[in-house]
Amino acid sequence: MKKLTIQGTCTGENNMAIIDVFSSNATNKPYDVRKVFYKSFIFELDDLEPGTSYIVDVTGFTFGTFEVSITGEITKPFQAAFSNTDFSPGYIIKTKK
Amino acid sequence: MKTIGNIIVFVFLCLSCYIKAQQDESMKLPVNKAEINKATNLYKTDNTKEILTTFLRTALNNITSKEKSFSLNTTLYAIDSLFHLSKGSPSDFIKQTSFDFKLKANEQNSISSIYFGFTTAIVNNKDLKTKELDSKDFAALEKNVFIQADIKKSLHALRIKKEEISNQKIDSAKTQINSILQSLNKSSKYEDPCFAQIKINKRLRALFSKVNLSPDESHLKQIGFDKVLEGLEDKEINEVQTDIDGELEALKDYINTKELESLNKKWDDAKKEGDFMMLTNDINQINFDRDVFRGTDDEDYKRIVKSYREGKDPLKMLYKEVAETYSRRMLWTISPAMEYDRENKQGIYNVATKMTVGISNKLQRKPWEIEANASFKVSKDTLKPATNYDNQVGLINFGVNKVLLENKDNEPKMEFKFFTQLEHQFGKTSNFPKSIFSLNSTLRINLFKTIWLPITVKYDPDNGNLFGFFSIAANLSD
Repeated sequence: MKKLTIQGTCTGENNMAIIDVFSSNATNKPYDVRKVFYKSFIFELDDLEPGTSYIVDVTGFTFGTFEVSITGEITKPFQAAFSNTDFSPGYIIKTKK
Repeated sequence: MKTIGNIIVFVFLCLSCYIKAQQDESMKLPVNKAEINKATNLYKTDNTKEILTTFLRTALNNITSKEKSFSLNTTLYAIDSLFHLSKGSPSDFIKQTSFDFKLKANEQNSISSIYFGFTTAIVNNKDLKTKELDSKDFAALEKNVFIQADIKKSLHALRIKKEEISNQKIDSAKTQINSILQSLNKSSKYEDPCFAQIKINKRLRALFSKVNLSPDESHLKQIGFDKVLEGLEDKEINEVQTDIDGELEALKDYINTKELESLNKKWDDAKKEGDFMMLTNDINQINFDRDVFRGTDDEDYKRIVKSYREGKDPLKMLYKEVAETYSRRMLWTISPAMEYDRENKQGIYNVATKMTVGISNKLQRKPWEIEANASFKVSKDTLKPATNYDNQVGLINFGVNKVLLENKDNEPKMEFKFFTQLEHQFGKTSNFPKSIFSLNSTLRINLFKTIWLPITVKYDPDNGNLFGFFSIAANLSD
């Protein structure tokens, strides 16, 4: 099983982020996890299949800044930052074999 | 010292360039970071930013007047952000306090006084970095975020369903091709490898069409299959079968990745533009009752979903609405300051308070603001040679600021302020008159991005004097 860490760092008083992690295709074993955060967080998953693709969707808003980083046993980490905006990026991650 | 004017202009230009560079830097960041363009601060008027800067403001004031000045206002938060001084989240005081610095020049363009002070907010209902949203506004945004997350997930579910259908088509083609290959091991009508190859290619072409590959994509994929089928008569059929299976599995992956990337791109483009028109066909296929409403009969949900169906982004619309509504709320500041008068070699003490509030909290284009200011300054009566603090001037003014021009995103581009001002001498000076009443107006024009040109006209009705000043200011928002 592979590990994934999603870290969100917020500034300001008004923030929200929904993190959805789910299977990216029909042949993957069904996987669907959702967590809702209103302040800075570290969200860890350690039950991902090796060599498999997943979608990490981040939806929310911030009236300060919100930085998200996706790391762990994946082929390519992601990082993004948002300031005074709503946001809804999606990332296709692939776990290492 | 005569070159002080040039130095001031140089410093202003340097800071303006720095502000521009900071903004260009943000444009170079990845797409997500570059989307820092819908900032709450954008809706604030330049008039508001003059009262309390949102990050950093530089200005050359009264350029045509005998007493020109260079001012720099920077929030402690800006200093903290630029130099990474504090660990963790900065306090409200740091976020809502600006450091004010001003160099005044006299007629000879030499520095006549140096001004230090700070401005801090007594009430700042505009700044959502420090003020919590009202619960109903937060709840409305929260509801929108849940719906947007559900809609995006539903679109992925639809995509996966389509992928299952295309996988079935590929599996069906795989069975047919395997059957043709197996027939080569038997004595049948397909025993001729060339004929079998023609038959397989025909199946593949039909498959490429069924899974919507473009002619170019079909051609590229065909090359892979051709390599496997090349010299079929001399190959082990089971090995060919394994290789064909591998090519077909790779085709599944290719189609899935293509669809996934296409959906992500469509979504990102829609979010960027705030326009979901290109996704409405997909959105209309979502089973909202099952996947989004989940049994709720909330009218808000229906209204929000209707917006998506019309190609709008209700989350972005609400975010902008909330940001704009709060930017109309009250800002009240106090600014104690000390100035050193180089010519008279003594201090000048100044305290000012400023208040501005939108006339209506409701959203409207080109909003009005009320502004009320008061200040009290103690300085030398220059008619007396000895050090003294007899020049004690109180000043109050009251006016309205109106946004005249906005861009399509409701960001102010031209503003007009009209205000009355009463200046009263409280000290024991021989200056007359004791009170001066004047009518004033300031037209602010946004020259480009961060640069504003405020032009002030002052009229003294008692003496019929008319004065005009213009300044130039640059704002950097966080």
